[in-house]
Order: sequence, then structure tokens, then C-alpha cells
Amino acid sequence: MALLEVRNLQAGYGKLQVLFDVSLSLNKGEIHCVVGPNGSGKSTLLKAIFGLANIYEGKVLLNGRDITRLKPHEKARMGMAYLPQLDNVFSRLTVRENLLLAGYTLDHTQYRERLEEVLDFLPQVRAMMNRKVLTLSGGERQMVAMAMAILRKPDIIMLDEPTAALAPKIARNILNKIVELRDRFKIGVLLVEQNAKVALEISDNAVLLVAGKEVYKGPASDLLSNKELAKMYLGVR
Amino acid sequence: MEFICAFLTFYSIYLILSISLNIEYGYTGIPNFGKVMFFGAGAFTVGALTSRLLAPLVGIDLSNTNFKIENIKIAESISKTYLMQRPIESLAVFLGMLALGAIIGGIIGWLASYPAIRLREDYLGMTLVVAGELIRLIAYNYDPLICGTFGVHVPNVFGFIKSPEWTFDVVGLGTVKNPLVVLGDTVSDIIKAGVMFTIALSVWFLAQRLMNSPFGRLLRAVRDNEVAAEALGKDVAKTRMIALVIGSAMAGLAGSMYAFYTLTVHATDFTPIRTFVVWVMVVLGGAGNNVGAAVGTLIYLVIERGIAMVKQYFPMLPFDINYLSYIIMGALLVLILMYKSEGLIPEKPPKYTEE
Amino acid sequence: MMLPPEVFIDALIYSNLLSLLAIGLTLTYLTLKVPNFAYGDLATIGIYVAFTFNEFYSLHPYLIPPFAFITAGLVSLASYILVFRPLWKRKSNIVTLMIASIAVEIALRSMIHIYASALGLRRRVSLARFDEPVNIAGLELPSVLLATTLTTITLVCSLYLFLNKTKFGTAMRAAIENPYLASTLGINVEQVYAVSWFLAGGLAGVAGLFLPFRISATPETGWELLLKIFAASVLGGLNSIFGAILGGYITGFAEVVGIYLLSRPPLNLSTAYRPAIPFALFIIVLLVMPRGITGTDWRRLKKILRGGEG
Repeated sequence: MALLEVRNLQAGYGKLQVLFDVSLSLNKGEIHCVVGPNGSGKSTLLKAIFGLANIYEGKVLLNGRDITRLKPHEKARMGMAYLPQLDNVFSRLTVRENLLLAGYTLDHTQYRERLEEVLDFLPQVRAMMNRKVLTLSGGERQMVAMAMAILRKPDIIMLDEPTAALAPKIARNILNKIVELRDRFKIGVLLVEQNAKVALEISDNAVLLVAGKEVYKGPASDLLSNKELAKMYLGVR
Repeated sequence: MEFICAFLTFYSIYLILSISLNIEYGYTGIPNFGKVMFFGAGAFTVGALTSRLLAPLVGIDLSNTNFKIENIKIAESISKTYLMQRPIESLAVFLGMLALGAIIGGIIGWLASYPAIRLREDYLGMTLVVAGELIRLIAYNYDPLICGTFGVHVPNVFGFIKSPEWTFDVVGLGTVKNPLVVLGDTVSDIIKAGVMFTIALSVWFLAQRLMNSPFGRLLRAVRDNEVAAEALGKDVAKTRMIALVIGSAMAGLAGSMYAFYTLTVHATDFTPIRTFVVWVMVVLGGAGNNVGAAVGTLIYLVIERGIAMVKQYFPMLPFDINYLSYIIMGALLVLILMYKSEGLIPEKPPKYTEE
Repeated sequence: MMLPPEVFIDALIYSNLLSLLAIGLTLTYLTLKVPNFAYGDLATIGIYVAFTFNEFYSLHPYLIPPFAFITAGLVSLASYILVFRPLWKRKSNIVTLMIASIAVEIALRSMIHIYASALGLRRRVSLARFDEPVNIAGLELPSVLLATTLTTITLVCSLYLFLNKTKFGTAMRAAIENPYLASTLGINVEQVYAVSWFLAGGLAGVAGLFLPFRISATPETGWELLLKIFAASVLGGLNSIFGAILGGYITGFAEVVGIYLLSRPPLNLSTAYRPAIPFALFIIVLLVMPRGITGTDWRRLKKILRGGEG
């Protein structure tokens, strides 16, 4: 049974449909990336799965259980984590408070344990604990956001363009951490990335979305070596 | 019959108010939460000025009299000794003050357009409600306006209808006395209601012409997509201002009519509940079209007058039954907003007949 | 110029209550971004709870705050659950929410009128007889001054501790800043908002309870207060609790001290014009610093001013 299964999803915002019949299947310890041109619905896919966009038809299954109609906070309590592209931290609060909220569903002991684990995993965050997020740089904020996403030790984490607007070195760092999540913790990762080449290099499987429709689905390496598709949609030479 | 005439009169006045709010909010998207202010402007104009302007004509020297205390007698004196015998002058006063009320309403609308254009809807809502209450406060306490706590009385411009002293010469019959005297109050009521309704109808047709014209389309464009309208070179701010001025002038007109009908103007009559009532009518009937305004007004009036009638049968109730009607209206309004926010008569997309 | 102590005392009592009300209004505004026109009437509920419990249960008014808090809080919560939340979930625009808010206001005020009439309260409600003077450090002070000041300090401190030192309170601040992000972390934002509406209502109820000590109150009192609450909140900036407190005290003092000064020679303005002061403040704030004291970027403003003179 797949960890996450999306079946024939038709979704959008209000009356504007963005996704047309998208399906995918993600297992534990897998990195699945979603690539495609701008506006193809990649972000919408993540939002729809999590409940932040309207699902018109289709299903989302978590460990076989139908979670399509559940509210976002209910899905969060079921072992799903979501890292949005924008506004992914609370700027008016401190890093410590942000992490406290990331552990909202945990009890005190669990929270202390996980906090230590996360700070080991992302040591840069330890130094920032008492700073107000407003004062952090883009890269630092993304680190905090990532820490928040993994604090609850989710089974599956969905990341929306985590390296956007970051310097290459920091971006590489983030991507390494994502690979580490898969290898060390066997977390299932659904990754949306604008920089397709880099994403495909670390992923196991890939979905290519164009104008809300699936154009390709299969092993990432195959998509990477498919010169035609790569050149047409991904700007890869 | 008296009931029907009163109903028709109030319908006319409220219809004009609904149309005015419809133009401002339904077509242009300006949430006017201060409608009572503009309504009051027209009424206050009539109250403050009519007696004062006509007093010299009956020989009253205003600089010698305490207007606040004497205003009832002054108004009565004007009505009986001057207006009753002069139908033409009465009508002139009526129409003239109506026009003045509309103009003053429009001016206040123009003033209000400054914040209306610049403020976001939530701040605008607060501002208009607060401004309305402040004007009521001033009207209640500043005696020179409408006699403060006493309220001011308005001379009766319709008195001539049943005046026994009005005579005119008819060829062959000599001097004839006013034939309408015989028919008494009923005809007076009918004529009053008829005049009011004619005015309302004219306003309605005017509004229809206006809203189906290019100007009406411009208003809707500004409401639906401000950015696009600006991109096409339309002056959004000026359009909003014009809409607000037109709406306010109408409200002022309605206020003047109201003053001439009820014959008194008192500040406590102009509370935000009046604004609320107009919103109920527009939302209920359907914003964005004048037919909706007409329907909404009708339904509201039926409820209101119905409750007023029912009141007579329950004199023992420990509370004022009006409050019950407000609770019902409030609940009704919320339900409509939840389940049928377009109202009973939804707005139809504009007809592009000339193209 | 020296102010007579009564004016200062009056201003302080009034400002204490106005601050509580500004905090509550700001709190509901922060959740749904809608000015709650029915908020003033929650204070009126506090007034009538005070009267009812005193009249029928012979409770001394200073023991009534918890009841006022809970009653008004529940009414506020009911308005959220029955009206505002459903409309919010339907993605209604702000004008719709405002219209609904006015509808709730009028319905609520009418219910209070009916209640008051049914009790035979044709005259105004006053609890002034409980305002016995208390001797502190040789000064004779009205007990209401102490009661309101203590209550305000207690409530403000509790609110601060709640919002900053508890998980739920921090979640409330987060849900206000970014409800979507909060929901992705497992926070039930609707529940959090519901609690905030309850708290805001409670604050109004407690503030309302103390009103009949200084003024004779009617079912209209809360509505009349609303414009002042708006002025205080807008002055504060409608974006933080601290701003609301600041706005409350500034507006309160401006109003009481202002009308005192204006009603003396040479202007001899009638005290009936007292509401004009907060209204004037409201207009000035909207013209000069629409984001209020805490919302204006003072550093930028200073730079601009300095640059202009440089």
C-alpha cells in the first residue's frame, strides 16, 4: 500500500480549475518530484492534497485511508507536513515560538525530544532560537521553515519550491538535507521544484505537469535523460 | 384608504432611498453605511429653512422671536394664513424645498466622497456610521439647526387641498369655492400620496435610464474591476464621486419629502436604524438592479406596516413591538447574506443591445 | 494649568474601561478583519448583567465580573458561530461581513431593549450607590477607581501571559498572523478564533459592568460607546493589543480632559458635545496616520522628515 496516493485529481481555486486528472503514488523513503513550466499547477497540487485548494473530483489517500475531505489541521495531525513556498514562517514570532507551534500537536516530552533531534539535524537553527524571524535572512528563514516541517517527524513531507530565491550554496544545503530525510528517516518526500535538473537528480520518481495535466510519470532518471521532454518543458540542455 | 395612502407615501420615499443605495453600492460598489446622514440632510434643510423663509411673509419678525419655542405656532400660522389660500405658492415651496434638499444632500455626498474614495471599506464603514451619529448629535444639541431637543415643525404645503378659503373664478359660474373641501381628508391623502408616488416613479425611470446607459456600464466596470477600468483610462475616483453625489442627492430628496409628509423634523428620528433598513431593502430585493430595489422595498414595507398594524391588537405587551421587528429583520438579513446573497432579483448581466 | 483631581479620576476610570473595550474590538478585528459593529452592545450586556445579578441575587457589583465576562463572552461566541464564521467560510467579502455585523448589532440591541422593558426598566440603570469612597494613603478615592484600575491591570496581565507564555495563546497569535500556515501545523484555527471571540466578549462584559457606576445607562449606552471604541482602536492601529491599550488611554484622557477644558470659558461648549472629541481624533488619525500609532513606520517617517530638512 502506498504511503500517499492521489487518484484522478481535479482541483483548483473557487471556479478556476487548475488540475485536470492528476494521479500519483508515493511510498516511504521515496523522493517524488513534480516539475513543469510556470503556472502548470505544481503548487496547486500540493495545496489540494493538503486541503488548501478546492478538490472538485478525485481522491487523496493516506495509507489507504481516504482523506480527501479532511481539513488541513486534521491532515497535519495524521503525519503529513507541508512547507509552503511563501509565508512559511511566522515573522512576528521568535524562532523558538515558531518551533513551539510546529510541535503544537505533541506533548511536552515528545516536543523536547523532537526539538533536540531537529536542532541536531539543522544545527544552524540552534543559534537563532531567540531571534525574531523578521530579522532573519531568506536562507535562515528557510532553515527554520524546514525545521518546523520535520519537527513532528511526519511520514510524508511536501515541499513547495524550497530553494526558490536562495543562493546556490544554501540551496544545495537544503537539497542535501532533503536527501538525508529520505535516507536517514525514511520520510516520503513530495517535492515541487522550478529547477528541474537539480530536483530530478535527487529524486526517485517524477511527474511532469503541463497546464495542469500529466505529461510524464515515471522514474526521475528516465525523464532527465529524455532529451525531447527535458528541452521542451524544463529548459534543460 | 388612509392606510393605503400612508403605505404608498412611505413606499415612494423608501423606494427613492433604495434606488440611491443601489446606485452607490449595487452598481458602483460603495458601501454607504451613512445613508441616514444624507436622508437627514434633506429633512433638516426643509425643517430648518421652510418656516424661517416663509415667516416674514406672514409678518413674523424672526429676530424678535425665540424660534425654538415658537416654531410650532409659526409653522401653524404660515400654514393657515399663507399657504392654505395659495396653491401655486404652496407647490412652489414644496418643489423648491425638495430641490434644495436634493442639492444639499448632493453637496454632503460630495464632501463624503473624499473619504469614500480614499478609505478601505472597513475604515469607510466605521467613518460613515460615526459621522452620521455625530451629525445627529449636533442636530440634537445645536438649537439653531432644527430646534435641538424640541424638533422643528414644517408648514403644511398640502393644506390648500382641503382649504375652504381657496376660491377661483369660473366662466359662467362666478366665484366658486374649493370643490375638494366637500370630499374632505381622503382626497387630501390621495393627492399627497399621488404626488409622492409620481416623484418616486420619475426617480425610478431616471435611474433606469441612467443605469442602462454607458454611464451605468462605467459604474459596473469600476465596481467589478477597478484596475482594468483605470487601465482603460477611466477616472475611477471621479466616477465614484459622481455616483455618491447622485445617490446622496436622491436621499436628500427623499428626506425632504419625508419632512413635508410627517410635518416635523426631530433629530432622534434619524438613527442608524434607518440606514440599516435601507440595506435590508436592497440586499433582500437584490443589489445591482432597480427592480430588485422596488421589490425589496415592498417586502420590507409590508413587514413594517404589518407589524405597526398588529401593534394595535397587543397593547398589553411590556415592550415596544418595533424591537421585535428589528430582530426579525436582522435575522432575515443574515439569512439572505448566507443563502441567497444576490437577493430575490439577482442582477442580470448588462444588455449590449446597440452593438 | 492644574486639573482638578475629579477630572483626572474620571479620565482614569473611563480610560480603564475604554482600553479593555479597545483590546476586545481589536482582537475580533484581527481574526476576521471586520470591524464588529455589535461590539458595543456586548458592553451593554455587561451593564444589564450587573443590574440583574444585583437586583435579583443581591450580589454586590464587585463580585459580578466573572458573570459579566461569561455572559458577554458567550453572546460574542454565539455571534461568531451563528453568523460570522459561516459567512467567513463562504468567503464572503468584507462588506457582507460588515452588513451582517450591523444586522447582529441591531438585533442584539433590540433584544436588550426588550429585556429592559420586560423588567420595567423604563428609567436608566445606575449603580452609583455602590461607589463608596475609600481611604488610601490619606486620599479619599472612589472605590470604582480602584476596582476598574485593578480589574484592568489584572485582565491585561492575564491576557499578556496567556498570549505569550501559553501554547494556545501563542497559537492564537500565529493564527491571527497566518491562519493557513497555522492550520498546516495542526492548529484548529476556527477553534482558536472562537476562543478569541469569547475573550473579546468577556472583556466587553466586564467593562460594561462598571459603566453604571459613573453614568446612568440605557440599552443604547453600548452603541453610543462604539464610536469611541472605534476611535481608540484606530488610534492604536488595529494591529496589536498594546496599540489598543495605548489608544484607549489616549482617547479616554483626551475626551474627559478635553471636554472639561472646552466647557469652561472662553468656549463654554456644552458637555453634550463630548462625543465630538473622539470623532475628531478618529478623523485626524485617518488623515495623518491611518495605521495608528503602532502601525506607522516611525523610523521611515523620521527619515523622510530629516531628509526634507537636510
